[in-house]
Amino acid sequence: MTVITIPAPIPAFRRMESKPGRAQTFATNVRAVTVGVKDVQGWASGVSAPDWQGDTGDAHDHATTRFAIRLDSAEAALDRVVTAADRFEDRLTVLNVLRPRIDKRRVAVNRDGETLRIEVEATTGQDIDAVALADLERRGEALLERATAVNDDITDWVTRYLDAEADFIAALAGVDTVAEGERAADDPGRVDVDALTDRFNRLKRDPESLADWWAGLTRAQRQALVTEDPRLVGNTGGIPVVDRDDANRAALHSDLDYLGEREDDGQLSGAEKRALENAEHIRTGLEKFKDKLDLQTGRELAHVLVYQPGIHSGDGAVAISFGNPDLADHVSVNVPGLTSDASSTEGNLDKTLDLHNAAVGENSGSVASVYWLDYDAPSGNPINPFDPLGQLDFGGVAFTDKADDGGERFSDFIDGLRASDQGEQAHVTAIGHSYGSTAVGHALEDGLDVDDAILIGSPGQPVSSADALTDADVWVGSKDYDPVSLLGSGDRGGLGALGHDPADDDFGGVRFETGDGSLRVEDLLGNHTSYFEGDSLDNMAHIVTDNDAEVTQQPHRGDPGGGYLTLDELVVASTAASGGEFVWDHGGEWAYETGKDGVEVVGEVGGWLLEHSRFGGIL
Amino acid sequence: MAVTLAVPYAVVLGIKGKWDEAADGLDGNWRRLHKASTDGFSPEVAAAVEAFREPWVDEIKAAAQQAQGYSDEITVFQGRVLIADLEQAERLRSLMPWVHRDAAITESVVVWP
Repeated sequence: MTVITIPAPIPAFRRMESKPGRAQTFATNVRAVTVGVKDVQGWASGVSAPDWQGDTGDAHDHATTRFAIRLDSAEAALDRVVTAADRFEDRLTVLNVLRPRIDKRRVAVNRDGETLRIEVEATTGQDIDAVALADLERRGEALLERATAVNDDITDWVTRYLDAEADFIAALAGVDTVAEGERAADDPGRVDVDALTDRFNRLKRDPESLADWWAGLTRAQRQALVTEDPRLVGNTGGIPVVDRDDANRAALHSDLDYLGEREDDGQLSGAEKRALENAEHIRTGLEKFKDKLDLQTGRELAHVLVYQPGIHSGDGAVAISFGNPDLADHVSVNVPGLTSDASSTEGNLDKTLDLHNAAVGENSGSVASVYWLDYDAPSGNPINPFDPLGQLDFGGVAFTDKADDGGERFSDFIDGLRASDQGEQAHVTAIGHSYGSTAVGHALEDGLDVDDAILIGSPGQPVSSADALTDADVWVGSKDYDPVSLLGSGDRGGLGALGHDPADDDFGGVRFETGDGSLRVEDLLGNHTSYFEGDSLDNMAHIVTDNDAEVTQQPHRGDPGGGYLTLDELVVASTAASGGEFVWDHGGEWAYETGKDGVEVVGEVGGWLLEHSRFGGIL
Repeated sequence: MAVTLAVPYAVVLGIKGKWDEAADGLDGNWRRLHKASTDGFSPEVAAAVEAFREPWVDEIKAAAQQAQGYSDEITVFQGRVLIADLEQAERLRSLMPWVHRDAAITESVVVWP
């Protein structure tokens, strides 16, 4: 009798009761608490007796010194828990990736085992030739090997999971009394964070060196730096994206706690009030997407790469990525334009996520899509040179200076991402919308390290050709009924205060299909703000994922088939398309009948646009 | 009898504000720690988190109250203008930065009309 061994079905194995996303949230909370405690402890120790760790009578009598010592114990305990929570999260993240892979193999082995069992049962009592019998035997042995491997991997996985929990529990238990915190504070092996901070500051202008140095730190050293100065760690290029995210989230929540308390006490200064508002906008934007998880890791899909709520004339700075740029094959970074500030975070994240989903849908590798606003986007109106609210030196130094300065900051940001990138260098695309395209143009002119550049709704570029601008591939999206895109100088004029129209036939690059938009005057602004939709979005997704052959094109302005209206012609035509009355019914500011002077017409268009864009941050 | 503490008024005012800020900061900290959810953790981990959290919420809260108390003490001292006795002056001096640890405390006789 021949015996064919079929492995017993492998039962479902332990589920992850502790989730990586939950561990991330807990770690963020403890980091935020630690940041706050360190802020206070840092102040108190700064005005304490220099050798306050000693026990001189003077120091003992100094209340501030005693207070600093008290908080130092809390700081030491929290530091340990932050490090443990960070490790716990990392281990859960790995286990979260492994578990479905093992389970998939388990299910396959059980399915194949069941199939084999049915086949074997069907042969019982039957005459079966030797070849078929040998085949059944061979399949049974192979199945047994697979089942053994799966069982081993399950055992290993369960062991690692239980170890991860046990280590985290032990770390918590090690500092769950104040006395243990005091001992942790006196531990001679405690991280010397001051020395690390000094070293960090010496390296921060050199992202690659910083990245190398950071990679050589222990987890405890890295976490101590994150909570000591999260604003430094979170906003410095070269630091891994996950660590920047951890630091910036800690700073965000710490700010919300501190400024919230000050607000409740009625003690906020004007600058603090603005910073709190910005922080709340950013929190709102993040909370909207917090349930969107990276399917590979279980961490939140959103990563905070820049968080500075109080800079840029109070507008704040923020950069958030969907996906991890350090790990992605394709990275896009989009820069918004005029009037953008922290209050427009949520709307701009919607657009960024639309692009991210479209790019992921290309199935051309992993993708990270970044929204970047870390420059002082002007708050005025680019179209109206006489706009009293504009606060601009339109066509003058101040206005282009902001694009130039923004471009420099953008270059630094991209250099930082390049430095922290892991594995093969990512394919990087810079996307500039409206005034953001001008800032990107200035960065390109100065050697921005990207593979592709997309300029959409651009009011002008600093040079007259793509070749003069950059070695990267240049792609232009300009709807002919987008008035902002008609501001650049070209073969039929254009104000040109911000530079050249990249859609012009002499500019070069590739003008991709966006459609023209609606001619009706009430839709003009929508034309400018809808590049992250339809054919335009699809084409950007192709470019971002390096599927250049899929991009559909439209003729440059001035090329055959590329006829277009100038800005003043567009105003007249769109007003007529809307029946004229519309204009006068909405403020009477339009110059349809009296606007013989192009500048005046332009000015009136600008006023209307500003009124309709101020709250959206769309230019 | 009255006591004079030789610390500039601006320093006293500034340090009162700093103690107040410290209290606000720590209040935000203990509240966040107190609210940190243990959902999504196994029961064993959740229990360990709770055991860690409880004493440190209490400790940070106590430190916040201490800081607020110091700020309030300075307010009281300010309100009195004249520090009544040596002990109070030393107490106030201990709440000032270390560089003022040797600020002179002098007693003077107040001659009431």
